[in-house]
Amino acid sequence: MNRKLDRKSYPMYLAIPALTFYTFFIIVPFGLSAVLSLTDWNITRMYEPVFRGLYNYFEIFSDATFIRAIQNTLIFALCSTTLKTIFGLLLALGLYKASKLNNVLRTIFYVPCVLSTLIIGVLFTSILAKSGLLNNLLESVGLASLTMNWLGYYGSALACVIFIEGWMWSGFNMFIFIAGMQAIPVDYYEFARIEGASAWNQFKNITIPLLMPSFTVTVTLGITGGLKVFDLIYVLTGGGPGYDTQVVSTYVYSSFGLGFLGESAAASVILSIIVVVISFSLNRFFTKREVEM
Amino acid sequence: MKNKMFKRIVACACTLTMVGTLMVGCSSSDDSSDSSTDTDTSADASADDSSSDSTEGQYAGVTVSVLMQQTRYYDGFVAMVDKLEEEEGIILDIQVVEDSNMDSVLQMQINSGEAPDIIDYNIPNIYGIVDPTEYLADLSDESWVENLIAPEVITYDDGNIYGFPLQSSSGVSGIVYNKDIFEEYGIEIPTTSAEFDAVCDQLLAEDITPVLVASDSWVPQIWMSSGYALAVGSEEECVSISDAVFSNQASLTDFPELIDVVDTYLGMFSSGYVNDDYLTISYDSVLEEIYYGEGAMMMGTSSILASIESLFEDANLGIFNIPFDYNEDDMLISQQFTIGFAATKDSENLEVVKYIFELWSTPEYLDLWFADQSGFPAFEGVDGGEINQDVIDLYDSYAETGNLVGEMNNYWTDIESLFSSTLWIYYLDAPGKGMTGEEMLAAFQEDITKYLTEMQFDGF
Repeated sequence: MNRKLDRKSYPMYLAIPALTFYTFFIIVPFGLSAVLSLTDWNITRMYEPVFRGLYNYFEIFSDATFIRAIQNTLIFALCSTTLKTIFGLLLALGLYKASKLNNVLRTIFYVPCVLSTLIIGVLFTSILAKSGLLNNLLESVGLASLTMNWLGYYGSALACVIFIEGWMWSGFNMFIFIAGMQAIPVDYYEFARIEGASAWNQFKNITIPLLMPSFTVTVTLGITGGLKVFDLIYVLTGGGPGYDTQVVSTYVYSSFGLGFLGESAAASVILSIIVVVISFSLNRFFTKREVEM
Repeated sequence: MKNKMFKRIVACACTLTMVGTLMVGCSSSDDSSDSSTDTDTSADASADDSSSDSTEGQYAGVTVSVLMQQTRYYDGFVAMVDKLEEEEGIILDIQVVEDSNMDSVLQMQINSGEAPDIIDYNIPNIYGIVDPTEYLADLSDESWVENLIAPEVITYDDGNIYGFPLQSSSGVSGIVYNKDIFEEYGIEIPTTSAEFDAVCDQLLAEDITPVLVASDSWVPQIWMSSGYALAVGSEEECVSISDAVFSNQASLTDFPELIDVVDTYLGMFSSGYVNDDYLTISYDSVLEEIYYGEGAMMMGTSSILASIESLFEDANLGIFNIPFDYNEDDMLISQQFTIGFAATKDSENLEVVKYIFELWSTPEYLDLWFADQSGFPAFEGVDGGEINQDVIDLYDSYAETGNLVGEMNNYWTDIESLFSSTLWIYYLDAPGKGMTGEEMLAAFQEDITKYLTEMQFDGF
């Protein structure tokens, strides 16, 4: 009853600004991209694109670089989301209780996500260089055999980018989890303790189920952001070595730069579809597992 | 009831304010606040208020946008920019981008109708990236044209000039080396592939990296673009091969001399002569390493040599011609392009840009550039600075015999767009992937076919 009253108190026209923005900047461009992706639109035929059906789609799906880009995008999104969700949760568990030290630590862990990606790129490029900080550190602790050119090989380059993304956003997820934990009534834990439940059982049966809304937010945001990744790849590896760490966004960028506008529109449409399908599916999956307090 | 009405009015006001704010926020910025992707630097920081106030130039206060490659942001250029602001009150809003991103950023800006007023690029190479007749201003009638030493270098196929040059030539290609290392170990300059390999083996034994390659893709490509022309041996042959490939009558892999050039380059990697961090080390770091003697040689140009000498005044460097066996006719690569600028045709500041070019063509300005980066000035009366004696000797000795040829890039302007997005990436990627020269050129041939088909070239 209360919920119905609440809904009535917010008139629909308040949604007009958001809908206007969404329509003009998301729906319309997407529609235009979808139409133009079916044409031979390119830099030499800017104003006279000719319909060519699904040719652009066949063309990009026969391009090994694009397939590699899709694989990399999915690996990046999945691994980075897992990393920042787990790290975020661990940080939240460690810094949940309010204290002066925890407040300072929370701020420190949050700082990376407000730093410019460009700065992070410059920072980590020098840390991961062959004669950079990481290799020097490994040498100084007697692990010289582990030193390598971190951004010079596919596996290590992609792993580094995933790790940096996880490092950047763990602090942000930490706050979402802390907010979620603070909403869990203390009574539940007190009752569980009286019943003799261990700390692990409390975490597994109270904290995790009641944190599901937080998981929904962090995983959805993480996956969506991961699938759209561009800046971090651009500044750290440039899609290299070769095309090894190319993702769909950088593929779209380079295709557009070459003047293949129809083809880059087709790749954008595919990226949009991937983002929408995966995000909605995950959101639905987690929302179903949310429980009422 | 009144309360409800009040709420509606407030809600409507909020809605309109939000929409209005969004629209304003999304509108285009004015000239003085152009966005930048990498590093945005404005010349206004260098001029004090008093100097700005004292300017009386006809375009005082105008801000002109410039797109520039990182390695071109020389101190000499900054001095020209400072002088322009101090004396004319014209402010250059310079967007500096990493060299390997220049092509994509430039094309992105042009394709989206946001081209800068001034574009820094090699001329005539820019004619292959951007259709000059459609996007670049025709500068043929500017007063500085008659003072050009080598107007043919920057003249487009239609006979017009669409760029402003700083140099008459970028000098010569060759192998830049650290003379101190060669003297210390008693190394003679190699003249054949076998001698070159022997030098590399000796340097390896001394724990010195023989050949330095940078991850900036425009650096290793010098090796191949020069090598192709040397292997082919003449301008006529370069033109003939290019015409055949770009009209779909031949493939790059049909020319074994081109394959040989790539294989020679790849052989350097498999022999362990090249630094193992070539995929990540920056161009600037390579210059430092060659100066400090951590590496002995790099494939480069006289301009690169001048850059190192500009950074390290006591550098003891030299340059020798490419000694590989494919250079059967003992030719020297003469760089038939110039560092320069182009003006966007539809720029609302075009008159200001033309005025700037007129000023920059004078010794008062261009001497500043060459004081930092010695070379061959584009205009009469400009002091090119002190050029390394090896460069002069090398050029003179080959100019006498006429054994000079331009690098292959000069003849491949039709596919210039593909260079940094595919070809130059292959040069860096092929060694690690174990590709052969033929495989690499076959992969690039596919890119050429796709590109020229999309661009509806004759024969495709």
